[in-house]
Amino acid sequence: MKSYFSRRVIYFIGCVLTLSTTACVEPIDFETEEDFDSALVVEGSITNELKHQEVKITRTYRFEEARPPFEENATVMVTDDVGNQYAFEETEPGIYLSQEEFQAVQGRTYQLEIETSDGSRYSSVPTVMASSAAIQEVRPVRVEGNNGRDGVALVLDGNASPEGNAYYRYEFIETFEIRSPYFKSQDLIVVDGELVLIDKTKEEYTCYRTEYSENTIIASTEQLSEDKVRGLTIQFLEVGDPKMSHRYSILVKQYGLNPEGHRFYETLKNLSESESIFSQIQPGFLAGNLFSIDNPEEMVLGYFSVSEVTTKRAFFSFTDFFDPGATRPPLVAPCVDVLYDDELTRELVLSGGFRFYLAVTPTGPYRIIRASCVDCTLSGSNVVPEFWIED
Amino acid sequence: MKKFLGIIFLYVLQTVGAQESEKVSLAYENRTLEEVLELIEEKTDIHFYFIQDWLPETPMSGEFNNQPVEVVLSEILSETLLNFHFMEDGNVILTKNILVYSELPSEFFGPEEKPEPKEEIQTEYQPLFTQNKTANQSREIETIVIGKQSRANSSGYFSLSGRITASETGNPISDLAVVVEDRNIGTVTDANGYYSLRLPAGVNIFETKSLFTEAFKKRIVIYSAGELNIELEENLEHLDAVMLEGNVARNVEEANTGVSQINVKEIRNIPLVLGERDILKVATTLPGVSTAGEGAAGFNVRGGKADQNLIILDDAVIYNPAHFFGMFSALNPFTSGSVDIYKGHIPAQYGGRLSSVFDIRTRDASIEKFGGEASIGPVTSNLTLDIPILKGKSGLLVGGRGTYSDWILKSLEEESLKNTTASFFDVVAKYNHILDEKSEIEATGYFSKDRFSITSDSIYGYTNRLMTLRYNRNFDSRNRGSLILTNSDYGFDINYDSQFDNDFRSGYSINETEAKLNMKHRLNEKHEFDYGISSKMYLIHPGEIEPIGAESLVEAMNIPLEKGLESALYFSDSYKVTEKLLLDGGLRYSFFTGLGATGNSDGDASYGGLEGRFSGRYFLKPDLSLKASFNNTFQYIHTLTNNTTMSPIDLYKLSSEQIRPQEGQQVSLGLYKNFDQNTYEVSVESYFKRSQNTLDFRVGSQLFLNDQIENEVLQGEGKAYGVELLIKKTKGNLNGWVGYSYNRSLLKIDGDTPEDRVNNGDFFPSNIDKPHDFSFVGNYKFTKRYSMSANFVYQTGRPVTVPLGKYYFNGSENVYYSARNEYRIPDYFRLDLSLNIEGNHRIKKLAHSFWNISVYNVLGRNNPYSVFFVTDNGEVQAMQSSIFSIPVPTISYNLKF
Repeated sequence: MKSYFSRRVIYFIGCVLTLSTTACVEPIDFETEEDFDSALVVEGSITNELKHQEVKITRTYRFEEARPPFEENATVMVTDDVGNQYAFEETEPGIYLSQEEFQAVQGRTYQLEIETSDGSRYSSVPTVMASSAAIQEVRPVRVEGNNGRDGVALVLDGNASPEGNAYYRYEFIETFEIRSPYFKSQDLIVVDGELVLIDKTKEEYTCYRTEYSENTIIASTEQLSEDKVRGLTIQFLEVGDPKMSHRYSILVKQYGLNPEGHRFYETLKNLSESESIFSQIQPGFLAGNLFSIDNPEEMVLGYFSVSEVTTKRAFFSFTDFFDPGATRPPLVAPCVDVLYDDELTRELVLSGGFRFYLAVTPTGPYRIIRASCVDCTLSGSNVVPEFWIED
Repeated sequence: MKKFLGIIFLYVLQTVGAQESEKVSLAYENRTLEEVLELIEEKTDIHFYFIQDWLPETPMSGEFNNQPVEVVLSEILSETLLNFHFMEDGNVILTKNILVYSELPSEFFGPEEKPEPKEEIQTEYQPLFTQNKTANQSREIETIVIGKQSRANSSGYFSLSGRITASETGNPISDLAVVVEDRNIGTVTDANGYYSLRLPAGVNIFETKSLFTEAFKKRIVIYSAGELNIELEENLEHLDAVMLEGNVARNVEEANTGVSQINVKEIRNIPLVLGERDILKVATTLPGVSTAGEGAAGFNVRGGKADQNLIILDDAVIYNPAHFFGMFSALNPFTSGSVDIYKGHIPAQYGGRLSSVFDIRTRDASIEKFGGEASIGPVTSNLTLDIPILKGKSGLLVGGRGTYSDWILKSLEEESLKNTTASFFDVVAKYNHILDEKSEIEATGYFSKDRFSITSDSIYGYTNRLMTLRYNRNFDSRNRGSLILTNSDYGFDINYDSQFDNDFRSGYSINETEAKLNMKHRLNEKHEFDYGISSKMYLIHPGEIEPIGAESLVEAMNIPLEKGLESALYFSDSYKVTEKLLLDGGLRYSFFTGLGATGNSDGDASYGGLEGRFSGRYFLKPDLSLKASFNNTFQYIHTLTNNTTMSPIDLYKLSSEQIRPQEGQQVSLGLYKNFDQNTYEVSVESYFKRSQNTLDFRVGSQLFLNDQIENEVLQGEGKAYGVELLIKKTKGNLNGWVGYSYNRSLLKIDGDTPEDRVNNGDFFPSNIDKPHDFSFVGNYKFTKRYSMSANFVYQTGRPVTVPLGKYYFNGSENVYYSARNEYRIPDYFRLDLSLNIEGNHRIKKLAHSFWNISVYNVLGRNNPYSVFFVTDNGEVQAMQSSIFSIPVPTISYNLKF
């Protein structure tokens, strides 16, 4: 009893004295109040890439809801200052693509115009394209003791911007090799009610999984002596992250931002992070560059940006930083194979959730395992990506 | 002719008038009294008997035409302390002071008094009259006679003032109750030991009351204004619990509304958190003073922002009086003497902040005896020493406090805490030197430093440094003055050391130097003037950043120095209109001018304004008073913060062309009553405040290292009102207080564009709007050695801004906010208990010790400090933080030697 108590006290003092962001913080349930008016949310990013440009239109939703409602059947158009009009059409609910491919051009001013199905009209402020310098390198760096975390950081070094202060927003796409925890060479199928062993036809052991960035990453060269980004951590993979158990690749996209856009994304980021439990940034309405034409007081969320994009891809392998014999955590866990007799095996194999793994003798009994433990296509694609470069 | 008179006459004065006397004509110019008397002797048969030393040397002029000698004598003696008495033979005896009864009527001073076998008439010359303390063990009451009796002054009131000092140390005794028995007259000595009373002519039983000093009781027979300085022996063996005795009658007597005083001696037994006795924490148990929450630095007084308090330590501004984000106050509890908090009427001598003044005084060092105090607690230790330098003249007080939290952190097993740091220390030294009977010098130095890290790649540090030099002089019984020089400095720095090429050091600092002259003049019994002048120079380094190491790409940047001069002139009159009505009227003219560097995007500007400080007290009954006040104030310096609560890296900015000074107005009205011979004090006070140009900031403003700060600032108006109730029990084994206040604090920010408007430009609750605030502080003394204290707090939850809902943007969920402060975190309540055990207290023991065992938050209430929303892995989660969610026991050991 006594030692328990003193431990609690020590822990507590630690919590107080370290100003740790986690120790004294707990999640709570929160619900939106009854009278909730949904507001329009626009995410439009026009780039210098020649493609069908995309504008997403959704609405705000209640705290307890999981998904945003889409704004369907809106009329969307982007105009520029030399009289071009690019009409957009809805390809999926809330997703509007330009009917023709086009690319933003340096020096022109673009404006987004939206008319929703109920006749409300919205517009963005006229926006010029913000440039983006080339990315010199994205390099994996082994980091030890970064806030008590060990792992590999993907660090970006940029080239100098020719236009002085530069502001960027980053997105990344990670693609990494995954391997099924269990390898098998045969499949067990049911033919006329009988269990039959055949040679494996599909690649189920080595696959590639792709994930998209979720957090806002921005950078500015404002307080740097040279107008280039250096040492910006784009992604941090902690030791034991299955993403880097074999080979890992990241494509970093750098979008140029104007100062207003940078401020918008920076505030967006600040409002969604907590810096310290002792002081909290004053939250308030984050105004973007979109407004309602009919009612200036109406809240419109989101941002319309016109950006030049530069990209860079990087690769690394597990063995670049870790001992080849070190534990490589699998993406799928746990995996336990079980020995079953024929009847039960047939039912489990037919159900789809379990797969055959190994035949003790060709006629059974068989070892059965969770499907994702032997079939990596359930977690990724077995097609080697075009850009993939092996070690 | 010069006949010596060596007898003390014991006659009744009234017999004089019956005598028919001769008439005389005479004229004289620039003659001494003795020469005039000789002139009368020449012209009449009268002979005068007197002691030559009694006669003043001042020359006099006059002319009398066939006037009775009696009239002539009345006239020429009117300016002296002498009385005259016609003897049977027609000759005249001059006596000093009065003639008193040889024996007093037995019930004159109450039945318990024995008639004195012998009266002692003090014959020192007026006005300076010092009664040295004598170890009077008898029950006799000494009599002190001030002035002389005449027909004209046998009724009416006279002022008696003086200074009370400790005989052992020579230090002034502040907050000592001075009362007159059975007359409902009383006052309290000020910080420098001065008191002033108005006594009815004749006999008064004058008493000082305190458990900290020996009893002093004298019979004062007063016939003119006079001065009585007293030396008392401090009673160091007192073992009482919370002592509120010092405030006797102050509650109802003073003209000020909204003034609270905390004496460190009073708070000795209040429950501690992490073993620290904290004078400012106690302040927050008083109605009208609060903090935004546990772990929030800064105080909110009557709905004002944390930057609207003038917090001064020995006259110098202390910018951040907090360690560990407000967990501990930066004031050493052993060296702090008292704090006066002005939350309603702010006397004219103070200015520069809208809401309140916290006037914190370091106690004087002993000039007689070496001594010290030490404490050992779970997080901090403290050692304070009293070192007499020149015995009886000067002493040095040195106090130091430090924490060993870093050591605790390093010994923890928790991996994530290993690389963190949090530590602080503060040192204070005060030197006081009595130059002569009329003047003294005080010098204080203070330094505090905090260091902490939130993430392992950055270390934050901040320091307070201040120095004061004060010269006090007592010119005469009517004039007193202080010349004060102060310098304060506050700064923080951030060291960033990562594994990449962007290491930097950045920082901010503010420095102010002030010269101030405060004068006091007592014109007569009715008027007392305070006047003075002050001027303050600000030097601000608004921000700099420099790279660390040759590899670092961080560009050095330095925002140009900001300078400003704030000056003020003030005059106030404390005017006793009648016995019942006391008015305190003051005017202060403050003036600010920016002297900023060129190249700043915002220009310099000058502002000035007249500030009225009016307050009045009216006795409805002898122990029931009504007080009202009106105040207006200007503030030329602002904090820049876009946090919801105060933080150590808040910046201070001077007014400029685009950032106008803040202005505030307050009216308050209160009723004050003492019951049961001042055992209970009750006060009810209400107030209404308005403020203009209070600062707010655009959403997402970057304030640090921003050389165009003016573009981020929104200026709005504020409104606050409330009622405060305080009931104190000041004596007995059970004592303490109960405070309740209902306070509202509202803001309005109505800019030109929708983004610059908060809540549609309507009034909304400020971050510190906590309407209900209840505090209870109680002490119970079981025996001389054991006492128990409890502290209970209840407050309405603080308003916070919560999202209206969510939206999907940039690959993740985000929350959006609209109306500010429409939600409240759950109500706050907390109970603390503490047990004090005094070491045994034999009188001649070398050291005196006590143990304090406290439990903070006995109920284990998980009081939320804030609610916030984070996006993690693309999803929004609501989070709640709390600082002390479990009971926190602490034990500390204190030693006084």
